[in-house]
Amino acid sequence: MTEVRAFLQRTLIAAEMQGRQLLRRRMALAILVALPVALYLAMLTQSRESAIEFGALGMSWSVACAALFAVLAAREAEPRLVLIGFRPAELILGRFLLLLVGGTAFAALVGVAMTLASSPVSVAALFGSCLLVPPIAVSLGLAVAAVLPHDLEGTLVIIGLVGIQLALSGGAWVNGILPMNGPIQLAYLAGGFPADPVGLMLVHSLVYVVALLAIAAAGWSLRVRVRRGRPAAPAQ
Amino acid sequence: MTAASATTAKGPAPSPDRGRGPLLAASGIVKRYGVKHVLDGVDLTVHHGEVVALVGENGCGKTTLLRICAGIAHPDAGRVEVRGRIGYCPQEPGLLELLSADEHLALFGAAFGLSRKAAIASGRRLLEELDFPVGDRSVSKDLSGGTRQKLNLALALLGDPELLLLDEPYQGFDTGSYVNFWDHVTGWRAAGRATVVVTHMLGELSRVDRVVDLTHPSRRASAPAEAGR
Repeated sequence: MTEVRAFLQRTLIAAEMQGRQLLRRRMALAILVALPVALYLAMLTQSRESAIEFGALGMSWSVACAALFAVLAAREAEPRLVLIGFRPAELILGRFLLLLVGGTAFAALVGVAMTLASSPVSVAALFGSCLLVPPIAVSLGLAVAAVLPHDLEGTLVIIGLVGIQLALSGGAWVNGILPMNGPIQLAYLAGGFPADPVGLMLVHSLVYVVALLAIAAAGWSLRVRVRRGRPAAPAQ
Repeated sequence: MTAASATTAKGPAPSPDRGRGPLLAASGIVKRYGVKHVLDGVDLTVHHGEVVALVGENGCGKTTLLRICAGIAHPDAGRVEVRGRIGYCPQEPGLLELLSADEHLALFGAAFGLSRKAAIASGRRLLEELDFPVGDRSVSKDLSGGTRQKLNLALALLGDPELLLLDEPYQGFDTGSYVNFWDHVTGWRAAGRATVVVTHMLGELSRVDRVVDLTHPSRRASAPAEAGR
């Protein structure tokens, strides 16, 4: 029980410090908010229905990049934290929870704005699309950071993955194997377009979240691991 | 470089461990970066109350050896055994740029199970000893290089570690803080702590028990003069 409590305490303080750092990057936060809003507004001039998809994909860009840079900002400090007693899982979980909560709050606000501006066929599908973005995007950002812990490389991979989905038309089979398919299909549903079954989208998203988190946890644990030898034998 | 050539024994026999064994025993450490052999069979044993200086030319593997001893870097061959808690102070402050000193203390203290209040109180005492402007709420990226380094050092000391691994911990210190640092080393020694310090400040080698010169034997002509207690 004490061990569980210590785990939770360390996880929560890791989340708290992650939040403090994120809130102090005001310019970055402003750009992260502006990106999906700009994408949504730009598409709104062409199609109120299709704009929902752009809003959701813009959010996934922002949230995934926030996760990527949250990891990269801590890459020098975290091996020290593990060395003195933190578990990699506590650091990863704390970061995931903080970004998930922050991303969900952001997604809910964007969802309200898009509901008012786009008059969706299904408000539930629109909010489903928005709220499905944070868990997938955070997991994607953490996984990319674990595999490619460099600013440029990681950002390019995220731009590539989300950009391909942005460029594809609704029925493209490639969409089905990319991480943001769930939110995209729900956005289609919200806009009154044909879409895959909701259950399938949820399963697709869940599989991606679990797989990406597993990659993030394994990759980051490997990067911050501390190799400890056994204690030296006492002098004879 | 062989283990024997890497180590230059200094001064009196190491401090007694009272049957506890050495705090750090690294043996046969090999590390290559590509085709370059940085460390080739280096041994390093450090006992309670002992101060060991790692010296040598740039690129000879001082920082790498310290990182391997800390467990952060991994040797290609060899074995490191550590007894007790490590306090590691990297050359480049491993700080979180957008956290203040108190926030660092709270986070690092949580690793030892310290409450936020206890960690900050304990850390502030350490910072005061290092002439850090305690109470300064600036985030670490806004601190001067020397002030950041003091925070870096205080974080290594938090939790009362038995073994200190310090990689040029006085970078950016002003003269007073630098002298103060070596006084602290003496104090840690008296308290039974083991300290391994990477240093280029050869004038202070008289204050350490042993000097380990990692300069390759073929380039040893310019090796530093032996010094020690």
